[in-house]
Amino acid sequence: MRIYLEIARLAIHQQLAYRAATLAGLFTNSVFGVILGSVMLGFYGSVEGDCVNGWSPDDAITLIWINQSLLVVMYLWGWWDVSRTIQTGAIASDFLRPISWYGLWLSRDFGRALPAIFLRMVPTLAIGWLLFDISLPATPARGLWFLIAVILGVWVSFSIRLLSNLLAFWLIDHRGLAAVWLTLTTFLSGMAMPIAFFPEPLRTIAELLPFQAVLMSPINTWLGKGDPLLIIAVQMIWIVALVILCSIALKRGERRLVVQGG
Amino acid sequence: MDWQQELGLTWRIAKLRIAAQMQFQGSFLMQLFGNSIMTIMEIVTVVIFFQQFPALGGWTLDEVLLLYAMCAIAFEIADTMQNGLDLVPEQVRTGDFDRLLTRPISVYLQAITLDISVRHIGKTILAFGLFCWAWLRLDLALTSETLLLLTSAWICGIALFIAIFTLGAIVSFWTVGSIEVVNAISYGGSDLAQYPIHIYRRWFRTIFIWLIPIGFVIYYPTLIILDKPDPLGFAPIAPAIGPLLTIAFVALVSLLWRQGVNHYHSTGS
Repeated sequence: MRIYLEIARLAIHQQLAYRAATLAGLFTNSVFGVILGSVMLGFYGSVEGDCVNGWSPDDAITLIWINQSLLVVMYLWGWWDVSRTIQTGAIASDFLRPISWYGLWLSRDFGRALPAIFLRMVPTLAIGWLLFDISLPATPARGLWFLIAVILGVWVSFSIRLLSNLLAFWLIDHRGLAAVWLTLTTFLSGMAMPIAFFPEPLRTIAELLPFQAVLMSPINTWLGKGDPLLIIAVQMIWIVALVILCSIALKRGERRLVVQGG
Repeated sequence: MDWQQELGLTWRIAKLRIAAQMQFQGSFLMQLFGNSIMTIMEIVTVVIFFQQFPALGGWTLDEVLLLYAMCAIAFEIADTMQNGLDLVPEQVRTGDFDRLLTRPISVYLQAITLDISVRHIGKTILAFGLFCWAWLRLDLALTSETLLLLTSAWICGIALFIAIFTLGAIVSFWTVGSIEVVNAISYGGSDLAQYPIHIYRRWFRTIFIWLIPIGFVIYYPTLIILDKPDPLGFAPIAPAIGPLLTIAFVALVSLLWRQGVNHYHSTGS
């Protein structure tokens, strides 16, 4: 266990080194928070009454800003580190390490995500609160559930990413896949609007996919929508299911792996 | 070398870059598809919003889609043309930028043709298709006035977006740090201009109307063509002031580019 904590600690140090990038990232998140938040309020301005499919304007604005704040924490997009090791063959030496291959990447990813919670999530939420008056968790318990759902969301996100990275065993060039992936995950995770706005059957499909366990789960705990225990349980089920899928993909992929070198 | 020869050479470089990309057809098609699906999902998002809500700032779905397409056409064409600029920060960092300075044609034209991303062509075609579709649904007439408005909107829009992308490259002459801030302005600018600009708060829209005149260049021509009410009241002056502010912005950026190139000191060992 100590070795994994050490890997995570190194990843944290790596993150803390980029201060200018953090500020630039906060700026970007805020710009998009303002744009998407204004569009959302603009739409709400056109309806009589307050709620749309159970979502008040405050809820929807809060969703927009939580999504912006979790963008880097979850890192659903543009993470192809593992597929790169498959392409270069470096994965072979990763397998030779005396530690678990899965544990290596998981601890690296938590080392990446944990500083992002303090450096990106918290400040972005604060900016959203200042500029758009987003609603805060109504009770301390909700805040706590939110934190748990964020941590589990990172794990779900990591598992989804790992699985898609392992596709590199079968594909030579992942860039096309990456673009499709980026779009579908963005859409199905509830990035632009709550999944509750989707028309049927899209809504049911989105609810049955793991992407909602990345962003919607923390958001729902924050806003007090649904039973937090159930939300957390669903996240855990996804983690287990994805770990199993990843290990199947890894076993099959290993057999295909050809490392050239000399 | 006169400017005609220079442009001719630039065009030859661009053609070579395009031909090179076509060599990897499978990968190219996949990227083309991947890029197009991004635009499709963005449009789907707008459509779903309009299933839940009747209007956005008084604009209907077809009207917002027309505005979206107006902006996307300018942005995608600019993004296709500017891709080489994305490579400038890396070239500056490694010192490879030296090579551009030794050649007898414009440094800027060389920088911009470092890469031509043909894969954006799918998005451009989609945006244009959407434009035609919304135009027909709205039953708009193509008069000489609207044609002038469209042409001016697209020329200014493309120039403006390329200028913003150029800012990103310019920043890299001074700092090796992140150019993400500029990305927020370029991608953010295109995102925000896809919706009626009067829905934004005053301080925010002021920046994107007067400083980076994307509001004058995209929103106002569309508003005039659609004959929509004008909550901000700049419609009478917009067709004239949009191009003027664009020229001013482009002039400022080209001045900064020169400063940046002069400031560039190679790296080496």
